[in-house]
Amino acid sequence: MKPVIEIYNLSKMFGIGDATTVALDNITLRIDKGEFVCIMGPSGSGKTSLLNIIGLLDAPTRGEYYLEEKPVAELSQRRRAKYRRDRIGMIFQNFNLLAGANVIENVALPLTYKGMLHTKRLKQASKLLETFGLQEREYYMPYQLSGGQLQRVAIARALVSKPAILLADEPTGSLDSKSSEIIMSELSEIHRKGNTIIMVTHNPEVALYADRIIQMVDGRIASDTKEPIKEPDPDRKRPLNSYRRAAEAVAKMLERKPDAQKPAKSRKKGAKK
Amino acid sequence: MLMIDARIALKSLRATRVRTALTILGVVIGVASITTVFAIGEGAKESVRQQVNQLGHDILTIRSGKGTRDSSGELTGYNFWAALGSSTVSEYDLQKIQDMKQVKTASPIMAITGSVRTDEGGEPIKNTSIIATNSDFSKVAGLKVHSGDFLDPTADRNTVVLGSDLAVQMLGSDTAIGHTVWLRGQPFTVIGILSKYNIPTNLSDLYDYNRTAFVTMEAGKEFNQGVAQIQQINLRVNDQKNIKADAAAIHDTLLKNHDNEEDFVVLRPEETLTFTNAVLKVATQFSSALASVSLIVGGIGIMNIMLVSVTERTREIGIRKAVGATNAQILRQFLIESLAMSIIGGLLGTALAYLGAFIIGSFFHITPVITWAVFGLAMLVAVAVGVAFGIAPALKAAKKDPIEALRIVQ
Repeated sequence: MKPVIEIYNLSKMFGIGDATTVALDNITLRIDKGEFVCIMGPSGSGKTSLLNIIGLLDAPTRGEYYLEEKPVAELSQRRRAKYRRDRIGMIFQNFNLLAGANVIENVALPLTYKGMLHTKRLKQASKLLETFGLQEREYYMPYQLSGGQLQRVAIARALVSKPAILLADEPTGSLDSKSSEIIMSELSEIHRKGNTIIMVTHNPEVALYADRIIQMVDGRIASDTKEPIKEPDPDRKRPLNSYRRAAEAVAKMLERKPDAQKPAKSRKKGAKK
Repeated sequence: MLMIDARIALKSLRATRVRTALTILGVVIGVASITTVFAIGEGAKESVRQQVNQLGHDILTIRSGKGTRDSSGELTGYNFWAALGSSTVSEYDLQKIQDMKQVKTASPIMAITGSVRTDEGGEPIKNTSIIATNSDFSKVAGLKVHSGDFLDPTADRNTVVLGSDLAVQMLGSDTAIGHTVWLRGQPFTVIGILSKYNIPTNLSDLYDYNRTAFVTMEAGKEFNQGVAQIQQINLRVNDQKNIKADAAAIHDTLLKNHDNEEDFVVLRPEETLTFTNAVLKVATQFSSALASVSLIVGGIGIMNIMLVSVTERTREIGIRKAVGATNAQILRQFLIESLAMSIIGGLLGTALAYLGAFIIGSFFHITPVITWAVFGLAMLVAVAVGVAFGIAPALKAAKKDPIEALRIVQ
């Protein structure tokens, strides 16, 4: 399986000096395509911080993060926004819908930033809402919907640009058990279609839907139902800090200098000696 | 992409209608005041231009006060304050000018302060003036007689010609020849009534010919204890092509009369225009400087409301960024909001200015002129205000950290 997310020795600190709080402490993690991962742990264990970093909403203090095998540290803000728009769907505990926009406009929002035409994006959003049984609520405002319906709208919005990865932060956190069940079966269905899902939750019942459970305590991974990886693959290309980059560039130049002066044959001979 | 951003921006503005309307009102007032000033200024300039065209290009005006000219004979300065003192132009000057072969006709203006009454003991009529002049004045000033005759050399000393409006007010008709009116307590017989004079300004600027009583120089002198006090002499030359040379010749003749003391000026038609335009320019600049203060206030209104809007909508910004909006897209959205307000304000302001200028202009007999240049300038200023006062809030919005923005509880 191809890795979708690879994280090496990643840490996240908040605050400065004595007031520093460690939210994530040296985390190494790999998530493959098509996995349904549940991250559990008590409040303050760093679950949401991890999810925000994975979702490119936040940046790590230290460590490396590869998203679909690309080093995130090298991405510009603009590229990050495009990743959020095209490759990642986010679902929040408090839905985070635009209060001033109706259901269909909320769902179509990511398509807006793709530059898709008004009618086209509404059509696409409408099609998606139909699969969630919300077609008749298209022109309702968010305040006219129940919690379960709101979360389904939020999931529809997360899926509308057909992302590879779905990140859900306590998606059932503000829902009753019946609505939770509906939401979870929706997510299972999405997972069955091949999406990678990473979900943060407190609720052990909800966690049962996942096929891999990661327990976090104090910013560290306490347990993982899948064998954790220890070290990054030494062969892969890694982002270099500027000092190393410069040093390597100089080394390369020194190496090449004789190449430029000597003809190819004599260099080969020299090499044999 | 811009259309999409514009749609989002307009939708946000519609969501806060009252606030948006009030902010736009600020810009409307600013743009309207500047545009009104320009429209009135342009209108005034245009009416002066028209006046010169209507009066003709063969007219010269002589006033007291020293004028300075450069080597090519162009006027560079004129001490017009001197015209407010006692006049240096005399009847003798008039006579000398009339004798010159280049001069077709010349006539003086002697303004007289005094009451105009319908009956001997009646109330004086308000807003009237009395001008003493000679019989050529109607030709020089381009006045037309509606009924009766203009002053003529053989006329009795106590005869008067009334402006159209004054005649109607005093006598109830513009054909009432032969009636007696009272000027400074003296009885005068009405021998002529003028047609309505439709040029908003005239040679002597200060007087509305429609409300003026014209009397002979003899009568004028009698009112002034036997002394002629001529404010200015207007004359027409025979050949308007030679007007520059004629003006110089007249200047030389007068200089001899005045013992080589240059205490008068001979003004060509376009020069009277230059002065009026210079005064108008200063007035326009001063008023527009005052008016631009209101536009700045309008701009501050935009900035204020946009800053409030950014703070209020921090969470919205977070959500938009979370679903993939780039910083540039957020910047555009907020900038378009402020631009939309300023452009709508600019358009409404120009419309209001046109209306306002017409109302103000009607008091001063000026038709306001809103040229494309004035309209373009107003819109340019409006756009500049939108960008200048909208950029800071838009940058603030664009720079918001998505995760911080999403944490805001609203």
